[in-house]
Amino acid sequence: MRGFYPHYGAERTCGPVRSSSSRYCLRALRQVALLLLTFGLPGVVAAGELAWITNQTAGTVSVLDLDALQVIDTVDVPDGPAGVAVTRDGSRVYITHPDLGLVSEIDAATRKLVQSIEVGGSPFGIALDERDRRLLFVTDWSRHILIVIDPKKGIPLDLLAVGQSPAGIVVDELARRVYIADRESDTVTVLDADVARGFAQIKVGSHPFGIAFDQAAKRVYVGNVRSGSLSVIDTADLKETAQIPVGEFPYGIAVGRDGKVYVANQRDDEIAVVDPATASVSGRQSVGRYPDGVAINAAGDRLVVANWFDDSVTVLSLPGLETLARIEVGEGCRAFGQFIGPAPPVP
Amino acid sequence: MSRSLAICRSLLLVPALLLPTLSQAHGPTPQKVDEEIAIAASPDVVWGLVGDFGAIAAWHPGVKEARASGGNEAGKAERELTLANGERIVEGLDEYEAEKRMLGYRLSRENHAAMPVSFYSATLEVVDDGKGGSVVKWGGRFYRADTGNFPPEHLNDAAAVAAMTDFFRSGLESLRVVAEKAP
Repeated sequence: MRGFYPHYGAERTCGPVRSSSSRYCLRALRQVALLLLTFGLPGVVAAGELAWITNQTAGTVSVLDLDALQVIDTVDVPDGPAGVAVTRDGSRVYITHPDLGLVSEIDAATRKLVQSIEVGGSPFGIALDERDRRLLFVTDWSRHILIVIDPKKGIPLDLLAVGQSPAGIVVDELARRVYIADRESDTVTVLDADVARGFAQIKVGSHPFGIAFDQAAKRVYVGNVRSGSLSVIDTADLKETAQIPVGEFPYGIAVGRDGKVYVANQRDDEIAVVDPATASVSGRQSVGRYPDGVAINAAGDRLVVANWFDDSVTVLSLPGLETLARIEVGEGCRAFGQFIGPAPPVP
Repeated sequence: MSRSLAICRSLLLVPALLLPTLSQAHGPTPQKVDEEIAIAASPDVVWGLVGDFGAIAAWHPGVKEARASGGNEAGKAERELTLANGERIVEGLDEYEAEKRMLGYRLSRENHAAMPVSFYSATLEVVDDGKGGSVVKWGGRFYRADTGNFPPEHLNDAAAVAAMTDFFRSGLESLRVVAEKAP
């Protein structure tokens, strides 16, 4: 089996290749100049964490500083950015463009587009695998496949069949599994992260879309848009163990450090807090209209939600659900994926 | 649970990437309609017109006929609309809050000849303007009819936006005339 199928994680390589020292110095100088332009004063400490908000209609990505609670930059990207994933070290941001069949890469330090990888179809949901070498797993809404991409080489490595119109995707890096919400076939497809092999197709509610993974609890959560429910999947036996009613049109989902699940109910204009222990909604907080993508920062004290209809994001405190800020971003913000990462180290 | 997933191992990349695709499902690029109108009639009068989900033909000039079932019960009520061009669509009521004078509904049976969209959800709300009149807010999220990457002109984003905006705007303008004439 392993010999026959490609083994995506076979080669071990490291991150970005360093250029020669003189070019490196030049780049560093340029970076200092950019920082001075951005912040006005020298000595300003770089932000702790950044949120990368894809604005699908505007064709831009808003860079939100989670300490200052303001947009510090707007990056021009190819049309229709939707899905987003940030590397663990915060150095790179990957964006899907469903209408163009592209996956693009942003250098987080320079906030510039590095490359756009042609993959075809309608690439939508995106998740990173960084255990060995870096891989991108991207769902293709219109061809009903998973695209495996090597961003270093800038090419797709494989196309794998999944359910109909796959949307949200998460990777369990330790157990080497990929979970995909198949919106039109009401299933979650579970694939091997290393070889072309499927484990299961799990029946969930109607129109599963957003998905989140809780490593500690060994659970995957899926929002069923039409059923208005959250499916709980046990990653040990790959079965749906509960379906919890949450509200109208659940879209983005994120898991807090307390194990609670935060769901953007798009037609209720709210974040619902789901307590898996009691299988019930333990709180609700109004946000902007048609909330879409949701993510929680590493410290677990900030939740960011993209209000698609209002072209804004709301930042909530956790666990208090206090509205800390409502910040204007670009038109048609989606932020579908894990869009928060540490501010990149200054080169 | 199926353990034997079909794996398309042998897809030739280049030809596969260049083929346009057509999907029966709605695509991932939502579009927006956001309209409002001020009406010199009380919120109760206006809600009396729009708050009856099945009675849209009484005030919307683009709806020739509405056949409704389920009253105003969220999750149950449906209306089949015959539009001005004779084509039909079906909408389902998702939310109904009479105290807030707000209702939310969705397209449950698409028909590209009637309306060049593959899906929409929309909210209509009557707000008290504080001076005896009303402001009606009607907005929604929708997807173009052809969700492939190479839609023909009559099924693309611009066509969808134009059709939805026209339907909402003409409806609101007519609603204003009808409501202001109401006793």
